Amino acid sequence: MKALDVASISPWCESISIASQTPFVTAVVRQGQTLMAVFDLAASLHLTVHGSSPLSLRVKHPLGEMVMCIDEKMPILHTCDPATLQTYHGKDVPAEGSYTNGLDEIPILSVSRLGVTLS
Amino acid sequence: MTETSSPISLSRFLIVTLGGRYLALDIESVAAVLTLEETGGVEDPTIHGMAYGVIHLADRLGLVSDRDMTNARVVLLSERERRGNVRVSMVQGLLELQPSQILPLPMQFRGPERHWYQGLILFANSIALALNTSWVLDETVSNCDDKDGHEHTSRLSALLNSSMEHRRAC
Repeated sequence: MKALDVASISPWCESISIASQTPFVTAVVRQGQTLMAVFDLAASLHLTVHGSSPLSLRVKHPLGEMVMCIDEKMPILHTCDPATLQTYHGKDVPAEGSYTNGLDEIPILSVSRLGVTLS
Repeated sequence: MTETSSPISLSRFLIVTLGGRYLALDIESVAAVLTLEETGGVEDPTIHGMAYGVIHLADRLGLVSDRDMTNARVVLLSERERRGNVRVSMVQGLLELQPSQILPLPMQFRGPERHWYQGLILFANSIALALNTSWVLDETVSNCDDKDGHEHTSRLSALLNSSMEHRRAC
């Protein structure tokens, strides 16, 4: 995802589950006096989070900041030339486009569409 | 000229635990809190001629009921013509809040659950889910006439005052 969409990265705190029928939004985290929805990105991609010390990725979503639990491996900042960005044709994630890293096509996650298009 | 300040309207909730979660019930809809013995051991107790049908709240909220029911209570709920009872693991106490202390459900929750909760309350380093009584009582249909919807208020107050400590949100 774009660095501009990221609010912070911190150790994962225990989430509090809330009965819900919204796909992949079934918990909140409390940070002081603030509550934020948790988007279960791993489940939406049919993946599991790796590592015993996962990280909390706080993102700027149009409906308010929300958090996602990600692998314990610290994300890497990658700089791309906008001219090299391509359309992402995969349907597995809501993407704003993609870039190529070696032989891999890396989708750029569309934060604003998380929880809206996946079901 | 004397300046008059408008009174702050406080919301009052009964905080209970069920399946390891804090739930907040609007005190306006709580008719009584009974021990299991006081219900006569029946699922649908009839109190003063009014039947309070059982509400399977744990199932509806996807919670696993606690095995230890040592401190279990039966909360009788009443709203307009509808009544029901919820069996909870423990009653934590009463909470008085200003409306601003009832936080809205984050907007990312977009499903029918928006009707289930009045909001979220910061409580005991966690949160309490403030339930919408109308939704809670959706499970029950009562045919009994409500002669006096607040018949049990005094009894409830006495019970709460004698057995619970008042707690504050944190």
